[in-house]
Amino acid sequence: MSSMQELEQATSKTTGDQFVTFKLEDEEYGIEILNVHEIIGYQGFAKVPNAPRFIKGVLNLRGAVVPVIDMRLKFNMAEKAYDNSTVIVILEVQERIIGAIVDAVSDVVTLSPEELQDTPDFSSGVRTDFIKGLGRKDEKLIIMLDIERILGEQEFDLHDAA
Amino acid sequence: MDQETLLETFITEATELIQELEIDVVALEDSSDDVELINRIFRAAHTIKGSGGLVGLTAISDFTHSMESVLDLVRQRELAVTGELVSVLLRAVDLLKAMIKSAATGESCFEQRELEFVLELLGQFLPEREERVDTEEMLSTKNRKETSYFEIEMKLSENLLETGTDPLMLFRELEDIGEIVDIVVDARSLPDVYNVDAHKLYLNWRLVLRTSEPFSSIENVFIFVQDDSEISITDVSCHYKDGVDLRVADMRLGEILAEKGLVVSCDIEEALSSQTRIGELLVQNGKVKEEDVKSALDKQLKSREVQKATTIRVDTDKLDKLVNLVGEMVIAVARTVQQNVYESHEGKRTTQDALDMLQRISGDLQEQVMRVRMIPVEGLFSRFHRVVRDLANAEGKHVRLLLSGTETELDKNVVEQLSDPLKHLIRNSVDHGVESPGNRRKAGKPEEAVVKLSAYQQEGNIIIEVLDDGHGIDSNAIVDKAAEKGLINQGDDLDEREIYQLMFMPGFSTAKEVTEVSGRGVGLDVVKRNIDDLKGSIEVISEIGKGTTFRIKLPLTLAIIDGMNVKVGDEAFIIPLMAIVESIRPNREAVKTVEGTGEVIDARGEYLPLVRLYNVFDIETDKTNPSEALVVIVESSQRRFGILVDDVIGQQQAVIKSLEKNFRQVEGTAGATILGDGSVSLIIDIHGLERMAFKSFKSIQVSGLEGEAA
Repeated sequence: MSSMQELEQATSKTTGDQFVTFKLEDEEYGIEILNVHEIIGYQGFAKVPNAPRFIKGVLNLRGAVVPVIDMRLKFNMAEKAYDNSTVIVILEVQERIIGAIVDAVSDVVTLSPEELQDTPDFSSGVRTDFIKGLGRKDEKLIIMLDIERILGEQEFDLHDAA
Repeated sequence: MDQETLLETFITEATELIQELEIDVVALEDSSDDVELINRIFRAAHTIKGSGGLVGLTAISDFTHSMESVLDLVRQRELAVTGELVSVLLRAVDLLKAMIKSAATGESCFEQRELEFVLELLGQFLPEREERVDTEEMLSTKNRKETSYFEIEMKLSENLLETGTDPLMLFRELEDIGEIVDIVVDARSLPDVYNVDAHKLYLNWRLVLRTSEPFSSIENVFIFVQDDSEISITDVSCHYKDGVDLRVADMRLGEILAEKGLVVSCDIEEALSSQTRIGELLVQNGKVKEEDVKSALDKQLKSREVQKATTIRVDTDKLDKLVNLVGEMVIAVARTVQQNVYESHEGKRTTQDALDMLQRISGDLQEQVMRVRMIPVEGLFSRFHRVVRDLANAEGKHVRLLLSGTETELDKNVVEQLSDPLKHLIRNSVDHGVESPGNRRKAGKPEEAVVKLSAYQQEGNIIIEVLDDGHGIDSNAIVDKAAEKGLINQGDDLDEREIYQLMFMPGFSTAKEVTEVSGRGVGLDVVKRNIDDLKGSIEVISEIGKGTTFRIKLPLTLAIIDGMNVKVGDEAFIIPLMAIVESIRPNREAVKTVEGTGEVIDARGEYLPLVRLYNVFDIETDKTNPSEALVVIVESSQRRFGILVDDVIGQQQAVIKSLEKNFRQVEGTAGATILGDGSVSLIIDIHGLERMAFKSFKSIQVSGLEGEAA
């Protein structure tokens, strides 16, 4: 009987998607866990000539050359000096590996469909095209990112590259 | 092996065979009595036919069959080798290529009409008797001279004897049409002696027949028994080489014996469990005779020997990974050595010695691994005999293609990517370079022109030259043409090198009349682009009346380059060593401006445009004063120019990593590499950097202004 309960628990855990959440300023963002390859500490990188400001450069991830973007700059937030809590979230999207610099990683959360809502309209000029939706967990707002949109941007498009 | 892998293998092999076939057929014209050559051609056609049939590509095997018939006549000296015959054979080779391409892609790459026409052309060489053979019959008709192996499995009806047929008769008939090289009797259904019915047949046979007769003649042998017996005939020629069954090499002794029906599997298991040598045991137990074991062992040994000579095919992807890893290792070792020197100024000599040894070994390992990817240019070069022959014939010229340095090895990728540009250059030489026989006579040259293709190594680079003894390139004609096209101004003072480089500009062509093969104005610029892609360079040397040489300089490999590590601000870049002429620290007076903005540097008496790397790449640095920094003079195929950098760190080998894989192409770079300390550094692409820096250069020049460096 107890094993039955365990099984139920296990299955209920997987209903709803899991997200890795990270912090930018006071806001909390979420990325689907399946897109997160690993999380590494902040490390130096080589600057890429004539790249947009938010592309910080490329780094060496065990022999692979991986581009790094600063999420603050990507979202037009104020630049912040990197410190001890700064981490690079290594994302894997459509077979490409990309690093995203964030202020800090906070948690892994499971959100059920009821805890998710569509992106509302904003009065001011907020870019909503990267946002998949909003999540609520323990009265905290989590902004769900559409990572494929962000990384599929023109800056990463091979065909548009000069 | 399933059907698909079988087909894949066939296509790879057939493509290689056809390449060789083509080269050999072209060679046949000049050496028509080379018996070995004729045999090789025949064997190639035969192999394609055989394996084509095996994978069910009957169209291919039928077609090669008719080629083979003609080749057989040549082999028998019943047909003389003429230019006409070679042309027809080459046409057949082309069609065969198209047919194989069709099989590979699943699309139709040839026309049925062409097939019929080529068959007719081939038919002309055959005597009357053979000419009647239509394609339908070809399928089943094997040429009388060639040998095949058929495996025949006879499961005869129990009541065969009652119909008056004796199995012995069948064997005699088979012996009439060929030789039985292997036979096994299956007596498992034989009851014990008390229960034997003398009128019944309890035995089945499996045999291998070597014959030069077609499939149909074997079928004919069994025509009277096939109704109530199971007879299966398979063409197993591909498994037999020199009469040895190649499959046996991979089989265990037990399996061989079992297949021969000498033992049954339980006997083998029993024997195996006793842990003695299986052969001895089976003999001991009286299951098999000693001779049988010996013959099986012999067979196994022989087959293994025949197989030994063959090579392994390795996916180039695996090799790429290996090369990459070894490159990483070499860098890591270098880093360790450096670290050790740094950490222990005195003492730790033994560690240092060991590390030195490790470094040497890893260097050797790298070289060997790189060598695995290298193939001689011979295969590539020999293909051009055909190109020269066809083109010379079409234009009524006599041209001999000479090859030298064919043993020179190059990275497989480079060899493949060289095919198109080289083909173009050779066509160019035959088409525009060499004169017609009449004109050559007038010029006092032998009627037969020479085009020479050579390869050699020079200072860590590979040089490939296409040389002709034609009329040379008139540099005045190039200047006129370029001016006419608006590429330069009439009064521009260009040296010879610069003039010849004009030919590689898009839209440039000096051919007075456009011919079918070259001279459409697309061409040399494409060649140059191809060579640029290979990180190489191309230059022209020509003398009026004597001839022209196109010289291509290539790096040994694409995966690793020798570079100079330079610093700009906080960033490190690698400049390919091949492009570097020298590095200089200019004095205060060496840098001059033109019209206030364009900068030139005085490098040994020559003013060269100066490119400030921090400007082009948008990097912050304090070293903006050239006399405090360094200038690396580089040479692209267009021009020499100076690159201003903060400092030169040192020479270094760089394993090239793609930026595109995870990111995208970055203008002005040829990829990235990982430095000894684990950081990433971008590799500068000289041509790309040049394009970025001199972007405005061309447009200004065309509109009639003096060029300036951006």
